[in-house]
Amino acid sequence: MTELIVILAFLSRFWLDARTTDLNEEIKQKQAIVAASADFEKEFRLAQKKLKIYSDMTAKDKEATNLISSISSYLPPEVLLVSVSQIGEEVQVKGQIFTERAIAQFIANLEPSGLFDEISLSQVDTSQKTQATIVFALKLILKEDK
Amino acid sequence: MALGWRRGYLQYKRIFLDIASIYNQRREVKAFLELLLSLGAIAIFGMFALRPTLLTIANLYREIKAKEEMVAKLNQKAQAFVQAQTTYNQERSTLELLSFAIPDKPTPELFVRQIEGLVGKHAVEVLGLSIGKATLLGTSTEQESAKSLLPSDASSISFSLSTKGNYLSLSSFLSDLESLRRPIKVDTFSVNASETEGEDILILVMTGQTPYFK
Repeated sequence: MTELIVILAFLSRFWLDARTTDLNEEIKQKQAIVAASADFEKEFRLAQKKLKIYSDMTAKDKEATNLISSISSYLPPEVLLVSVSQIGEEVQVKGQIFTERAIAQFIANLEPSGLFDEISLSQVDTSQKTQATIVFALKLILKEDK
Repeated sequence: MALGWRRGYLQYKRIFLDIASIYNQRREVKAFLELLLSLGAIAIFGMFALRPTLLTIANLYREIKAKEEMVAKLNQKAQAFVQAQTTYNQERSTLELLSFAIPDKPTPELFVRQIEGLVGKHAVEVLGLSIGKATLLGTSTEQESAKSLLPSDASSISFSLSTKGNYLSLSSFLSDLESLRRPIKVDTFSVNASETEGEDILILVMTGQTPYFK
């Protein structure tokens, strides 16, 4: 029995040694295959990064165009838009009107649009050219997900 | 003195022979003794010969497991390469477009050419166009682009553009500019109405960035 255990132990050791050698050979071959694809891997990863940049940049569709057309669509007929500008999340809209009621209507139209977190009237003044018209400026803060 | 030694010898011989006869006569004693001796032999072999072998076997076993895992990972990677190569070949034409969209170099001349194309298409007038600092040849020694507004890893060239035209042409120009194959990130823009020679015109001023990836 003792001899059997000893023989088994030594035989398994030889088998394990042989298996290790086989695995080393296999690993060497596979590593050579992987190394041969290194250039392709680099190219593929570059393409992946570029795709990521492209998809991140185009995730929001035509922000400026959509903003201008949205604001234009909420304009009451009696409001004349003078300028629209955007810096970061802040949008400034300037216009001319004949009655204050039109500003209120414009703000009332913008509020339910869901585009802005904050809408505030930053300027109301009579026009220097014609006293009949009123110039106004609205400050709008865009919602973060817009 | 010599007699004492002989007596002792005879006494021990008799005891040994008694034990031997008991060993031969009683089977259970024989079996027990054989078992005891076998276990003793195993213990001695185990201690001095088998122990190092068993330790080596354990180490080899662990090594084999690690190597098998490595082979499996390498196989997985090789398979992924095959799959990636297939996908890459299938999408080769799209990927060529991607290299126009996100070039490896700043290529401001290509970007300006695209803007010129849009200007001609929509009949707007360019009042000014400037492109930010870009390294055209060699490696840039300083960071010429503002990376914060663009996705990670992307470099960019900044630009500033002012154009004038009527609402429809400017609106479609801006829409096409935002849909260029080479994407842009608009940092700031303003559209101002102004009256020139009795004609109402709009002036669009915008600053933005367009990416490249080096």
